[in-house]
Amino acid sequence: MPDLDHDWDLRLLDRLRCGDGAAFLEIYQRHKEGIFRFVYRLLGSLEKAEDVTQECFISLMSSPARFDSRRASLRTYLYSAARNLAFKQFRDLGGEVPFEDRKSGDSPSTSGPLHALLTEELSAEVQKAIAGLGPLQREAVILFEYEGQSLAEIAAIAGTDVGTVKSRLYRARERLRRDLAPYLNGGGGASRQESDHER
Amino acid sequence: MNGDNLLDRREHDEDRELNVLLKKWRAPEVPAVLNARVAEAAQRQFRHTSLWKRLLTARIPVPVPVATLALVLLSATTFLAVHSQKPAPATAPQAAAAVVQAKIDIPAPRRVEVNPAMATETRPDLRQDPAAKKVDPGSAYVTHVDLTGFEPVKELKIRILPRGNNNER
Repeated sequence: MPDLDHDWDLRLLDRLRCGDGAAFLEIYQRHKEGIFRFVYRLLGSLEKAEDVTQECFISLMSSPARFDSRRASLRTYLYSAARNLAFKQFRDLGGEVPFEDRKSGDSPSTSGPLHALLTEELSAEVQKAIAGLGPLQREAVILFEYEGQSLAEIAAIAGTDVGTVKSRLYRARERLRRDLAPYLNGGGGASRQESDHER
Repeated sequence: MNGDNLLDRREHDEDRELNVLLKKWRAPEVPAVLNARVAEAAQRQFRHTSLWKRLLTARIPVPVPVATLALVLLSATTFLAVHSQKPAPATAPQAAAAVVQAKIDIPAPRRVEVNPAMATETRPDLRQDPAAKKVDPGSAYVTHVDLTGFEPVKELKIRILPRGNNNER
């Protein structure tokens, strides 16, 4: 995130601390997409993603002093808060990830029914494969692949070091490559994975 | 995306096929109902925030150069205000110190009542004075001191006499 964005976040936070509701809504508008997507992919439930996202922003609104700009950016702080709330939900669910079927209209593909069907199927398979990962590996993949976070940012969000994040990411991709082998270049991915294991 | 992130991503370039496949999973947009819920919560939270509280806790960001300039101007103004006051004349305290207070007894005009009987008692020479004898001994008369031609002394010389020095009397 560019420093200008970070500075603007800090200004909004200053205003929020003074009781400016408009500043809070602007913070929400700036970060809601990323937080919601992240939580949704982590939990696999639209309803729970809504709850967690709302709780995440309301906790910031209620006690903005908890955020320390010397430790992390606001973006990292929000992702970290959302992650903790999502993991709490995850524990409440007994470790299961209840991935929902996508409702019609969610898919952005409009280039023909066959393509849409294929995209839907691929999307569902990827979703299923990521749901099969452990929570920490899933978190690393989502933040790295979908949210464009750096390893250092992911480490800050997860409260660990960069080496651990790299390791989680590597193992997650190995697993995904294996699970999604039939969709990788006509199944060629499986043979490549086997050759990787032989190394 | 910063430089570190680019380096992180290069390590995964070989796995482009997997990356493309992963991108097939698209997350839904933020539901409108969530926006409404958050806006409602914010409205509830900030409705009770009074204008006074906002004014009392408001902050005004001031750029450092402006703050420095203001501080320098304030210091210079204070310095000039303190040092522009004229110093008091140096001779004044000396003059004040030269004033000596002295207690001077100045004879004041007074009204004296003289009883002829008393006068003859205290002045034996008046007993022989026929004029004094003419006066009715029962009546008293008053002597008025006339201050016509009285002038205050032009030059006053003060001599301080020690209390026990009888020779000076």
